[in-house]
Amino acid sequence: MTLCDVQPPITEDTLWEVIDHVADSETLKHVISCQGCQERLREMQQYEGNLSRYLARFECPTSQELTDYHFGAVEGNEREAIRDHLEKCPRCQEELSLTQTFVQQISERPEPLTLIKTDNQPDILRPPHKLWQMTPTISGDLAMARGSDEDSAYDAHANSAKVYLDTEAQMSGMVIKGQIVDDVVDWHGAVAEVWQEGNLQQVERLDEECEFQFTLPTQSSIDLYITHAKGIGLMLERLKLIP
Amino acid sequence: VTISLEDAELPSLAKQCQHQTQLFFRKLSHDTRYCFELFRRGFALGLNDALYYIYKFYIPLLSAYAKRHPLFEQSSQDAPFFSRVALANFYKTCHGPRFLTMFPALPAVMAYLYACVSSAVIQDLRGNRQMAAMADDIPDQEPVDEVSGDALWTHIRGVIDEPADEHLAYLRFVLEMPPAEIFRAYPDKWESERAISVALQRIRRRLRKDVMLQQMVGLRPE
Repeated sequence: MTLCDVQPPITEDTLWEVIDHVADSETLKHVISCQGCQERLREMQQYEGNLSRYLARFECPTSQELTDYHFGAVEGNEREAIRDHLEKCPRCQEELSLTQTFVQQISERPEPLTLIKTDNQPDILRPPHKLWQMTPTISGDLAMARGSDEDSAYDAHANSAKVYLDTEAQMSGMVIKGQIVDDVVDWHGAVAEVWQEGNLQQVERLDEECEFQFTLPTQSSIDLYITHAKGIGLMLERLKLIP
Repeated sequence: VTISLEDAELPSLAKQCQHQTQLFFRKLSHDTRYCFELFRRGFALGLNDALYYIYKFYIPLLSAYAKRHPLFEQSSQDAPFFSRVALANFYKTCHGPRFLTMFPALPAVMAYLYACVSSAVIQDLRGNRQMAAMADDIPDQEPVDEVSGDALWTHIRGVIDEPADEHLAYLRFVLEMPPAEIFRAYPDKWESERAISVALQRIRRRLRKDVMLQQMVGLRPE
């Protein structure tokens, strides 16, 4: 192990104080100027990070489960388990309390300060890691997998999900049929929205086969959003329709 | 001729819902039954056409509320995303007959929807913290096998083998509370933040000596 190159040396226990934010100013000064301590600190932070990766909130209910518990939508053993967990978990208590305060504040002052126009320009300023932006799949094999090898078939992928789309011009309008295939996430019950020119056109829940179908009045390009209750969204934007 | 709300045509019902919502925001006398009927059709009956109007009216509204959430600025998504997750969760939990058992009227529906928005924002932050930990701390060697949090914690409890230390380790490593926060939450249990830090040093010394634990989380032995 690398030792201190600034005197007097400090122990590993003192370095843990830096990680725990209880170190005094002398210790902090030492660490700033000591290469050896910085190396030891990095290694210790890595150790903490590895523990955190596996342990952080590993048995906490999701925040939605806490909400459902609070609103009486959880029953039986699951309800008892959440109640018992809440008694010992200050983090979950804090989150539930935050939600209760938020509900109270909105209920007391429901006027929206700014209504957001939901158009094609999402106001994302931060990296959206849970909004899976889909990219077209180059190979034609996947389109054929859905039983179609025509130009109107399209497929795209993001993370574990693949979306297959077919279009067909009918008397009633442009019909779009789609399906999500995913080995990891079950998209049954997710909600699909199709937008054209900034306007919401249709909404549909995905059936047991994770399929959906829209009939659109025009052939303008579409934006497709599919949202899972787990907090994952699929986004496929500016998709041209080929009749 | 009086037409009951249940028989009303969907477009006129939606129009009334929108009108009554405007009256509500202007603090004028209003009738919540139209919007409630819209929700009933969308969530209790599962009619996609009703869901269309719900999404059309409520995504902008819920997005505005998401922006008022105290943790929104720390989140990693845009406001409409949280609205969509809230509505998807609403459907998952409250569709079918359960809708009417949970919600007698519109205010109860809206309170639950606001809570779903809050949950979506909070859950996003939980995920961000974990992602940050993963990005910052790339292990030198991979874990031998994929380890569950449950299995790792069971092992750690065996290594610590002392109830007070086990509780402290849970607060620090599972709930990720720094000593200052632990002291605020449990002022009667420890004398000071420093006392908590000293107790944690003792726990860490034991954990870091455990070879099995080093293998489980992919750390090289000291």
